[in-house]
Amino acid sequence: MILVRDKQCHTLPNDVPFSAGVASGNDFQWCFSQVKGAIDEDVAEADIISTVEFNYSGELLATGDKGGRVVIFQHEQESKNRPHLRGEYNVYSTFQSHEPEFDYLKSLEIEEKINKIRWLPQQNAAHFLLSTNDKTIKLWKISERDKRAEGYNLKDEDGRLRDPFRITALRVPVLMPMDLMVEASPRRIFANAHTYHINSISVNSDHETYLSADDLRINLWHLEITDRSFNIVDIKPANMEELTEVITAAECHPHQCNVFVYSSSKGTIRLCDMRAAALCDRHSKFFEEPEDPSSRSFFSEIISSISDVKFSHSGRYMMTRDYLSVKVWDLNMENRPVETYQVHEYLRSKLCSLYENDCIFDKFECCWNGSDSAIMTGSYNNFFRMFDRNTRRDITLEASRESSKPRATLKPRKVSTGGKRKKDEISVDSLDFNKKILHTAWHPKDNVIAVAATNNLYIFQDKIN
Amino acid sequence: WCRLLALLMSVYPREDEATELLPAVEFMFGKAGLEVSYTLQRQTIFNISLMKLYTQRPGEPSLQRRVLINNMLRRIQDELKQDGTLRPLLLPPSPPPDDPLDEGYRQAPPTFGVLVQSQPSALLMEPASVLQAELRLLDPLPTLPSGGSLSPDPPSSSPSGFLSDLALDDVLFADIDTSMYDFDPCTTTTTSTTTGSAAIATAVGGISKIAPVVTADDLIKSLASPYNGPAPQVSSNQPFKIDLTELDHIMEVLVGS
Repeated sequence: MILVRDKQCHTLPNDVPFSAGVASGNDFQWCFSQVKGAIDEDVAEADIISTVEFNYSGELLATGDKGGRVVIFQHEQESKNRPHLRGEYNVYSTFQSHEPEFDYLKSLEIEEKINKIRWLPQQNAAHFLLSTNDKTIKLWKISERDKRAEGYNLKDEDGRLRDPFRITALRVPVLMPMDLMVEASPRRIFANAHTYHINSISVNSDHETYLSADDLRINLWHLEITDRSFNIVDIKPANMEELTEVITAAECHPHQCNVFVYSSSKGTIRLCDMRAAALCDRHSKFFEEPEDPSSRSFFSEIISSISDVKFSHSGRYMMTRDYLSVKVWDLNMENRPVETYQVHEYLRSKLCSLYENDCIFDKFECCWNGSDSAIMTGSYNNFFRMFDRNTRRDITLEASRESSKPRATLKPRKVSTGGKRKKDEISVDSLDFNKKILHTAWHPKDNVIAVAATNNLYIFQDKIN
Repeated sequence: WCRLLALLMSVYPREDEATELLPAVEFMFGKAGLEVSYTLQRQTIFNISLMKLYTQRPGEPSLQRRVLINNMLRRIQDELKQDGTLRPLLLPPSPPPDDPLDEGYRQAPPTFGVLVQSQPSALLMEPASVLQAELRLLDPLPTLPSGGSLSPDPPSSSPSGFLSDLALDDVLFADIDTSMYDFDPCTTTTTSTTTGSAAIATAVGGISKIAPVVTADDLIKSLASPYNGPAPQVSSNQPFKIDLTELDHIMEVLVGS
C-alpha cells in the first residue's frame, strides 16, 4: 500500500501526543535534554557539525565537524537522587581526525571536513570507529587508561635507556591507579583509493570488511589492510562527457554480508550481491518508482536524487531520502516504495528559488528508530520531522535554544501551506533556509535522538507519561 | 545599460510567481499564454543553470551538483530542439574552469555544437555579427499587431516593483556588473567608432570574452525566444501581445538612437 501523506496533515493537533511506536506502546512527547556547542551568533565554519552517529549500544555518541574534529559523548549513568532524569551525554573524548591537505599533483585542496563516522561493533574494552573526509578513511581506537606501570628499572629517571650490562636485577613494574584518561589513536589509514569525494562508509556485518563510496565508485576494504581495496562498483563512463548519473550513498545490509545497496542521483537504488561477481556492475535488484507525470517539472530529476539510504535494523526494509520526501522500500518489491512520507511538500512551489540558491542540492539524511517503527529526517528552519509507521502520524519539531529548558516539552510546529496563516503557524516565506538539519541520529534502543543544527547538537528524549 | 537590464529582467517571472499566475494567464490568453509562460520559465532556468556551471563556488566542486545541472541543460536543449525553436546560443567563449577534481568531466559540447551549427552567422569572435543576429531576431517583433491598451507583459508586474523583490536577478546583475567593470573599452580596437551600436556591440563582445557567465546576449535572446518567428504556434495568431513600448525602448538602447 502506498501511503502518501496529504498536505493538510503535516502535524498533529497539539493535544495529540506523538507516539514513536515503542514496544511498550506508551504514548509520549519529546522533551529537551541537552544542547552542546557555543551559543554565539557568529558560527565558525569549522564548528559546523557534519555527521552524528550513535554506537551500537547507544552509550557513545560521536559527532564530526567541518574542522576535521571528532567529539565523542558518553552516556552518564542516571543519578539515584534524580531518578526522573535519565543520564546525560557528556564529552568523553575529542580529537583531530583529519587535517587539511593539499594534493600537489592535482593542485587541489582536500578539506578536513568529516563526511561520515561509522562505529565498529565493540569487541573488547576499547571502541573503534571509522571516520572519513573526501579522500581518506581512518580507523580510530578510543580506549581508557586509569592505571600506569611504575617501577621499571630499564630507564633512568629522565627517561634514557640504561646500559643493559649494568642492569643486574629484574624488577617487575607495578600498576598504579591514576586519573582516567581517554586516548584516541589512529590505528589504520586507508588512503589513495578514491579519485572522487567519499560520500559513504559502511561497516559490513562480517565485522571484518567495510565499503566506501565516492561519486563514481565503491570500494571494499578489509579493516586490517590499508594498502589495497577491491573496486566493487564503477559507473565512470569511458568518456566523462557521457556522465549523467553519480552515486550518492551506499550501505551494507545489516545481516547479509554479501549484500549492499547504493543510490543514485537519478533517484534509483541498486541492490548488489557480492557473491554474483567480483565487480558488481550488474545489480541484483533495481528499485525505482515511476515518475508521476502530474508533478513533472524541470526539477524532477534534481529533487528525485537520493541523498541518503539506510537499511532498517531488521534488514527487511530500506529507507531513502530525496529532496522532498522519505520513502520506505520493501526489499522484496522493486517497482515502488511501500510508504512515502512528505517532508516539506510546501517547498514544491519554491523549487526555482531553491535551485538558484543551491539549497536544492542539500543532502538531508534520515534514520530509523531502534524498532524500525518510526523514522526521522531533517528540514529547514531547524525543523525536523518524524513519521510513525504504525499510526501513520507525523510531527514537525524544532531544535531551538528558546525551548531548551530542561525537560521542556517540544511543541509541534506547523508550516502554513497557502491560504490563511493560523496562530502558531509559520509561513513558508519566513522559513530560514540557512538553518537546516541535515544530520540526525536515533539511539539504537531508547527514545533518545541527537539532532545537529549547524554548530549545535541537540539531544531530546521521550517524556514518559 | 541599467535601464536595458531592468527591462530585460522585468520579463523574468520567478517560478513560484509564475505558477501562481498560471490560471490567470490561461484565463486571459488561453493555451498560448500558458505556453509562453512555460517558455519564459524554461529560459530562466536555462540561464540560471548556465550561470551555475560557469561560476564555480569556491572550495566545493561537487560532481553531483554539476552533473545534475548539466542534465538540466541537456534536457532543456533537447526540448528546444524538439520545439523547433532552435536558435543560436552564445557559446561561452572559454571552456568551463578546469576542475582538477575529475578526470576531464566537461559539459557536453555536442549539444552546444548543434546549436551553434544551426546558425553559423553567430560567430563568437565577431561581436558585431552576433549583435546583428540579435537584431535580426528582434526584427519581426514590431510587425506584430500593436498592443495598444492591452499590453499584458504576462506574469510580471512593473519593472521597478519586480526588481526590488527579485532575489533571482541579483545574481545576474552582480555578474553582469562585474564584467562591465572588468571590461576596459580602451583596450578594444573597435571602440574608436563612437556610434552607440558599435560601442554596445564591443561591450557585448567584451563581456563574452572576459566573463564566461550569462551575458546580456543570453538575456536578449531569452527575451526574444518566446515571441519570435520559428515558433509559429505562438507567434502568428495568438491573442498574446508584447508591450511594444518596452521593446521599442530596448531597440532604442541597443541601436542608440
